Amino acid sequence: MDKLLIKLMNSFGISGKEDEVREVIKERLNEINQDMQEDDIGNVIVKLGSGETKIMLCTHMDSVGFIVNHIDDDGMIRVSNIGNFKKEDISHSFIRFDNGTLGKIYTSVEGEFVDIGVNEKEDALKKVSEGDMASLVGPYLSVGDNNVISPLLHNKVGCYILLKLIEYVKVENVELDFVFASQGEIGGIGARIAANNINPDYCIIVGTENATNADKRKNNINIDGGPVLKIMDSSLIMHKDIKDILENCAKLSGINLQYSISTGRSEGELVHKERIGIRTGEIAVPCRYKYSASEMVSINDIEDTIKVLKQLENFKETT
Amino acid sequence: MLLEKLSNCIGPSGYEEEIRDVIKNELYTFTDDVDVDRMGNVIVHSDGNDNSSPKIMIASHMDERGLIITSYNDDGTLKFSTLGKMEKNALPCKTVLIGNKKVHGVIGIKPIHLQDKSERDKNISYDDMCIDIGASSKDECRKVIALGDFAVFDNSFSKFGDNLVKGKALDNRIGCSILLELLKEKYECNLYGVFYVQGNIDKRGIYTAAYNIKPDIIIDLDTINSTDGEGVPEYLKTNELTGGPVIPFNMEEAIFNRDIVKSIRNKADNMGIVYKRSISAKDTSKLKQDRLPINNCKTAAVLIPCKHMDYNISICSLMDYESTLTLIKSYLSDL
Repeated sequence: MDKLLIKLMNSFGISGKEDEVREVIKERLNEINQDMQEDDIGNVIVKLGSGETKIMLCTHMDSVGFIVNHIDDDGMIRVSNIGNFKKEDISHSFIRFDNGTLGKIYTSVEGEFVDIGVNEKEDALKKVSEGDMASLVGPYLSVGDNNVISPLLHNKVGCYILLKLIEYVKVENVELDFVFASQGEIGGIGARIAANNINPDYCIIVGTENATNADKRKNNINIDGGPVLKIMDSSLIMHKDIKDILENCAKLSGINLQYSISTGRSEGELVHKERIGIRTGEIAVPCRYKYSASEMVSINDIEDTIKVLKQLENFKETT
Repeated sequence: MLLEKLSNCIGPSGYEEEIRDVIKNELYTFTDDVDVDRMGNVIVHSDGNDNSSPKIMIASHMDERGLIITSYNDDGTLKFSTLGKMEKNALPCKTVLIGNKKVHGVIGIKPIHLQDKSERDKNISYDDMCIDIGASSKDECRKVIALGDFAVFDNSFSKFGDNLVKGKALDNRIGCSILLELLKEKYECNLYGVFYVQGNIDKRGIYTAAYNIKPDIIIDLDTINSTDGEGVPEYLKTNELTGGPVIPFNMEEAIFNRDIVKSIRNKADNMGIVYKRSISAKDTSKLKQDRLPINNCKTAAVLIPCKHMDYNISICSLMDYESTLTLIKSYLSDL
């Protein structure tokens, strides 16, 4: 599996504290001698090409996580969620704090607790204090026919796709603005600000979409079934122009798309209402067990998404 | 006392005319740079020496909890709904003042000896309550009260106990009082003081004020429910009266700028001011980043503990008032 993806998966990045994952992204951009900008909210922006049309490709760097509320007398660390996810899905998983301290999390009716293996509040305070952030952590498994299981694939996969595109795309007469946005999981804050500053003609969000698994058998999205166009979710209805653009790209690259209608939310929620409105849509990699302690994607879908989006280098307005 | 004047003023969410006038008159005694925007927010600009320094906005909402008259009952009483979140079970038997004419009313509920057992056990709903102004018929009532009239609690402010105060609307007249005293001083920084409307309904006014000012930093000065009391588990005892202001990193999903929060906390540490760090903010209005229609703004909150915040009368400590005022004054003087 590509070392870049592994590095991204291992870097700490929670909404509001994306320093480590931002460094990995910037380091990679330096390795390929690519200029970049960083704005005040922490978005990393790469501009390629120039032309009459501006297309913004956006993904968020941060993942969901936890913040420490209180440390109980017996050394158990009470945390609450950053981002929207079910606490049952992450119970008993491994945890890493932003300063490197390791532990595990379990949830009960009493609340969510991280156990770092101490028995006294004073011992816990030596390692962790109130306000510290924590993230899921874990090994990755390569399984099946080119699939990977790991926590936090959403949204390191999106960052990986944009980094690969920046490296390989050869832009002709269009301006592509790649945005690695901050604070995506808490409402798409960085993406909205980037969209306001860039003012693109089109915005394509790159993310992940829930795929079928044992109890979601009816939603028809399969891993290794191809990239997903999110026709509609709770926050955004894909703009017809974006749909046409992406379907055209898929046709040119010979890749089959899947289509989804779901109840997720994404940065598209704020971006499409920004300024006088921006044509927005999302393309996503199918992902089983999203927001759980171990998610699964197919590397084939990641590579296909890159191939589809690479066709944007030849973008021409049709009217 | 300034806080007394503000607490006794009337100004429920959406109907802040009286408190707005009182605040404006107070401001005119020491500054001319006072503006009122379209939503009714009062904005004061206290220009430091250097106009190019970052803009810092300190915001405090002017409105209080109140009620609104929704219909007439046949027996001359009135049905009502709330302006802002209210503790329902605390409403019966409270006295209120309705409308600009300040008509006296009493909140009533179906008498207990007429309720059957199941009614006595379940929670009260607004349909079970009414406001009685002493009218004996719908027509008599219609002459005095109009639909849509607002109502506030009829309580007066007083000092009591060991440096404590009680009164209605301490949420957030205490914040307004601190902000007024802050604005009387001169600072080097580029300071905007905002007294905003509809704070109890999701802090609506603050976003439009921010759109006009485009500040670099927003500090929301508000109250938070204090958690002293019997039977509160240790981990929920996040703040108490006389424990000082609360300066949290986040309020549930509203995450503040860590650097600003840390610099306020450091200032408090340097001055020996006691403060608290985290809160349980369920069901409280919060300053949310994704609603701010400006780019590059750092947010933080300084919250004053207030006991029984959701009730008709609440309690605050003057010690917390003084320490919050001193802390923010020094913080601004350093900028």
